[in-house]
Amino acid sequence: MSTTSVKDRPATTTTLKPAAPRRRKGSWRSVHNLKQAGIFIALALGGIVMTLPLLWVALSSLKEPSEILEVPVRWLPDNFFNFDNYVELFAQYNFGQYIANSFIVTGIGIVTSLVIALLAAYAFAYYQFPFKEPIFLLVLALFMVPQEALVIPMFLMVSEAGLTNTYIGMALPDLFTVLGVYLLRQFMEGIPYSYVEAARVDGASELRILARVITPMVAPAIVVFVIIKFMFTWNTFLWPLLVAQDEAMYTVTVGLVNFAGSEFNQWNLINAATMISMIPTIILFVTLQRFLVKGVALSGMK
Amino acid sequence: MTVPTLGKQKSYSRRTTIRAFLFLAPALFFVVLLFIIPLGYNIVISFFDWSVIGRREFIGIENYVSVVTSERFMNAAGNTLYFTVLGVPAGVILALIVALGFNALLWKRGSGLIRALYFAPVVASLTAVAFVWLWIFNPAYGLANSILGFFGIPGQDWLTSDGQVIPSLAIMYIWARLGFNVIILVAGLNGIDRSYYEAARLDGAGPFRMLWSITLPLLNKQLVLVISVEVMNAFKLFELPFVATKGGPVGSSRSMVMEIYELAFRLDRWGEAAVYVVIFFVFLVAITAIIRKIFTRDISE
Repeated sequence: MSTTSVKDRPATTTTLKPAAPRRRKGSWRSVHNLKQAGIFIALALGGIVMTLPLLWVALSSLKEPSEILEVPVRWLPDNFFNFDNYVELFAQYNFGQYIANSFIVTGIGIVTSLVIALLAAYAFAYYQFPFKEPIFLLVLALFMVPQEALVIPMFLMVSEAGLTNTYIGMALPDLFTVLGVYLLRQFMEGIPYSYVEAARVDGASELRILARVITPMVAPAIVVFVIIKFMFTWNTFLWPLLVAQDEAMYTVTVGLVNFAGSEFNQWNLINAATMISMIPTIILFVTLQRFLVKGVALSGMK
Repeated sequence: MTVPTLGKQKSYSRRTTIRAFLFLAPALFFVVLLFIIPLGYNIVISFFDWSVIGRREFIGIENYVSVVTSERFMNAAGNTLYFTVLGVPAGVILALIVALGFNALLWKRGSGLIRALYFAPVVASLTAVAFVWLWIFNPAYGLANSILGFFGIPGQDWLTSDGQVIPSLAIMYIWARLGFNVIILVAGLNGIDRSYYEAARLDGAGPFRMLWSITLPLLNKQLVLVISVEVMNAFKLFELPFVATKGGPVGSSRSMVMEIYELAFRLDRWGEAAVYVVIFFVFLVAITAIIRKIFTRDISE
């Protein structure tokens, strides 16, 4: 898997390291460099356009109610350290509770789906058994089934079981993720079988081999899975909207929508609430961006 | 189980088989609980006059007839298709252009940061995306009209006009999804052996010829993935109109999933809602099959 990231650039391009052109006079003006500069600038401009909406919301969240409704639009807030909107959201509204709920539901989803995926991936990677490939294909096919489409029966099942307004009910669709089984199987198949055999000779039980030998070796795949799973579960909306009916059980996404519905046109607060809902994923993104990008790329390398 | 080609008996150890299924048990349990039972249950409901209060009467295909002939359905299906047709091709082509740019960029300094800029919106939930753009598209105080005004273009109604609402939602969607698709396509482009291009260059092929004859066919797998995922995501359009427009103005941005939500949870007409789900799946399976067919033919040429 990791070999796919190694680029097979022709030898000629490797001499064109960014530092090289400055030393040789005149080469800066070469067509090649002009082209590179053009691509660079175009991509950078596109990137700035892509980030503007987020930046705009971030700046708006620091503005006073009077500032925010100014026409023509003013970009920067008067005071960059005006966190009044945030303070108000936590003090007067339940955003602290919503964040806690989101963390609980996301946590349950990550842990359960990871354990289940490890077990299943181990079976697919190291055992020969009847109907192995058909079962794997069935699991894989479910990758394309959107959970949103199954809300009708799922909701009836959950409410008949009395699980509305419970964390388990809210986490139910996230307890299992096809992507985890797929990612971990791919990774495990890259590990030499001799590791498993050696551990078996040493008398380790299968569960112990999985927990102590295999799991540490697939850690990169686990990191990738946890990041992607966190993002998906944290950002889910429709399911918690249906199952979390008590305000005390709202997740961040549901709380945000509900709040904006009741505080219509308070755009300074809505912008701050939008930022709050994104902050955990933004932190995750900034700190683990390398893994995240690799993970998305990996999940596309079928 | 016999393998006919070699005439060799493929045998499985009984112990291993039992073990394997023990390891698989939790996953299979959830496959059944979260997918197979709900799918079956949904089909059952679709044949019933079903209310949560307890009215459950078998009415055959009556729900199907009433849904397919209803104006609500035609409107929602039309809106969802329109959104998909606007958002998916434009989004994928844009992602392809950006990915080709990154692939052609040999300067590595700063390129990671630029890539991060494209990816940043991916981490936002669609509810957050809806609020971000609801504010930008605000006709009076929004950034969009302010920028248009700067260039002397009159302000638009965006989400508040029935003609512009779906294109506006498509812009939001493309923005939210672009970074994800770019990364998958860049990974695919990195995997293409450079020697193909060298050979083509020696044969005198131009850049567009190379794109068409080498890059796109070899990017086939990633393109199928990106397009399938995008179509699925566009089909399940819900958060963006639910938050930003509430389906308005006058129903012009109601999507299929919104109708499912409305019918079941607001109007207590679960049977009809279940019919939407069935139709939704038929659509999805058909379109995924078509995408795969088109692209597998492409590679054989």
